[in-house]
Amino acid sequence: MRAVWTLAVKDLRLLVRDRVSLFWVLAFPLLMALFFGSLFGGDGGERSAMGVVVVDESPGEGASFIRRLDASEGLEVDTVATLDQARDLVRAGKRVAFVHVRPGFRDGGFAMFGRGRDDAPALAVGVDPGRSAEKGLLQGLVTQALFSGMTEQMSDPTRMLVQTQEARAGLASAAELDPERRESLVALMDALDGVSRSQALVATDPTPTASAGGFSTEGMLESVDVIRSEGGQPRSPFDVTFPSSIVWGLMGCATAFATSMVRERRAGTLLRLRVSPLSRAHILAGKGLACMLAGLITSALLLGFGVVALGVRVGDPILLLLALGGAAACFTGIMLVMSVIGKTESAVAGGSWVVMMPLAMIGGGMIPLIAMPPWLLTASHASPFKWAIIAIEGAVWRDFTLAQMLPALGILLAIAIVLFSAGVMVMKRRDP
Amino acid sequence: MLSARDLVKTYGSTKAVQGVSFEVGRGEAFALLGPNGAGKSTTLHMLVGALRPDGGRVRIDGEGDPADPTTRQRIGIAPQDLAIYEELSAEENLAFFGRIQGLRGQRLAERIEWGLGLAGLAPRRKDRAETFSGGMKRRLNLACAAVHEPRLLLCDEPTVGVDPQSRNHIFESIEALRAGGCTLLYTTHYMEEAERLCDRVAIMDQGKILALDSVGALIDAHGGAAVVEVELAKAPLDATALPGTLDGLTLRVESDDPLATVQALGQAGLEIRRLRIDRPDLERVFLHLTGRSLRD
Repeated sequence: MRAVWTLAVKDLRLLVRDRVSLFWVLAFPLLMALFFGSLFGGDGGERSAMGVVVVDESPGEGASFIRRLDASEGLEVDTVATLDQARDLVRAGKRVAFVHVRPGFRDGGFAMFGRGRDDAPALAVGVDPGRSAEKGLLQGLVTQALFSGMTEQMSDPTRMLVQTQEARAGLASAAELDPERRESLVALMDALDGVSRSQALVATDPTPTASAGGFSTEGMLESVDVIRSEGGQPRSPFDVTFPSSIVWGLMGCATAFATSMVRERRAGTLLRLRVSPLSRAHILAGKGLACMLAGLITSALLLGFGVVALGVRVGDPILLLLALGGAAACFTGIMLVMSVIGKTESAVAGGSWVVMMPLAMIGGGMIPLIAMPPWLLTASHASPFKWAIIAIEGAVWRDFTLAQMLPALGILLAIAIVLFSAGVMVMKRRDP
Repeated sequence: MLSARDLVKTYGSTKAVQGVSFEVGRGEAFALLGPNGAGKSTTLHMLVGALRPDGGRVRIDGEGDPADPTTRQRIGIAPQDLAIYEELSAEENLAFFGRIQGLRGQRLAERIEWGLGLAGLAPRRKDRAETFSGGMKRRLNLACAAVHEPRLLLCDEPTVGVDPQSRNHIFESIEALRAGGCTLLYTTHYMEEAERLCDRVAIMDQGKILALDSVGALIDAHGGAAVVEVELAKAPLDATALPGTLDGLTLRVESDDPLATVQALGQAGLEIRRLRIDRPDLERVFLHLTGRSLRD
């Protein structure tokens, strides 16, 4: 074991000192993750409409409010029947926010009129914590829809008269109301009725002045906390691109070590190793251990950067270790086969990219698995990239259980065993 | 120390080695001398177990099989290619090859110092091998082969492409190893190296050993007589009375005793302007055996 460790440490040291290999192992995968993450995140392009789901529990006045909200530029509104459905959509990341129109909601100016401090808000907004930057925009659009209702109301004298009649009845029944205040409110109703009857109402400035019990939106709109559901959905594009980048890193390791194996054969160091007391198994194990360790270290560095700098989350660290171990083993097998098939360093380096690039493309290395059309998803079964990405994503954001991860792990280990055996057989035939 | 019996290796229709047999005694320096492609390196690879022979067998230190790790611990090899890691320093190369041979701790540290001294690289111990000259790399290549004190050291063309200074350094290193009791098997196509360093020489060509003996015995058997070549100051009065062949003013005489021949020419009244004596060497032996020069 000591000899294997000595060999592995030597190979890791050589890798660290080879800047070209280091670029493919570490820098290139990181650039891929950042590039595709930014691309899928849409930060560099035109921002799409904000998806909002609305639940209307009002007796009927919510409909016109929802219609005005839907007409807002920048919002894409749809409705669901229950608050739970709405909340789940936001928690799952399928909508940016929900708007809850509560049973006591009243549309128009009287929705904002005469509210007590202890009255429950008639509207609630819950925003995805990952999209908190858009919270202010949504609240502004909701408020705008409310005021638009007031404008509509005040431009309809008949509706206005009905509303003031209702308000008068309410004032009459409010026994606890201070007489002076009641008197001034009745005077206001008289004034409003006069305006409505004159048919000369012109809405000029709908901006309200905030005062307790007066004409105000204060307390009408409640902001509700939403705890994002972590189950089975990526929280950001980087949740998707970093698992892919890890697999690119593993491929970089496999190529680097396959090339180094050929270099050892060409330079004569392999001959020197074989004339030493080491067996062929020792030499292969040393190279394999180095490749696996390099893969694990690369994965840790990439993921560490993703977690610290970009908020990538790790669902289950133990499953992640299993996934990385399986993926690293698989690519170690690929490394061994590449090293014995190619006769020169350039043949191995070039050949590995020629073979691996299509496998990467169909396996989720470029197009995320979750964005693949069904036919490509079926084709991706043939690529070890897919199983490595599935396993890592399972531990990162898919929230796999061990049982859910076992198929991917099993396939990765099976590929590793088959390729490792094939590599050893070819090597025995080539260097008996 | 080393016994090779009827070694055969074939690549397709090419017979690389055809029935090679020889023995090397303990502490002896033995050379395989031949042109490129003679089968020297293939033979050497079979001797160390890196290549399985199609026929024949190799035994090291009695009944030791070179495929056995215990036997291989007694062997060191300096391959023809520079079998060092360019990205590692001289010290790191020696440490790595010492470790895989089982050296540890103080013993390893001592052997690293010894190797740096042998290669003359102590002042540049921390420098990466990629910054060394070709000669320095060759010296490090040799030191890595000997870092674990092997009983049998195999050097495959260890001076290819090096400057005269490094070549001398390598010769001195090999002589020092020999003085320490190391058995040496040396392949080369430079006959002067075989003459200087080795007790016995096997002359190989086209996968076969053509002759095997000490340098002196080979020359005696196949080198022919020495040639005395003199350039005369003026043409002799009677050229027919002279030994050898006269070409203009240059007289060439084959002789088993060159000094006596020169003395006789002087006594014959010839005025000699320039004198050269070509003693028979391994080059002449190879020419005699194959009809070709070693460097063809």
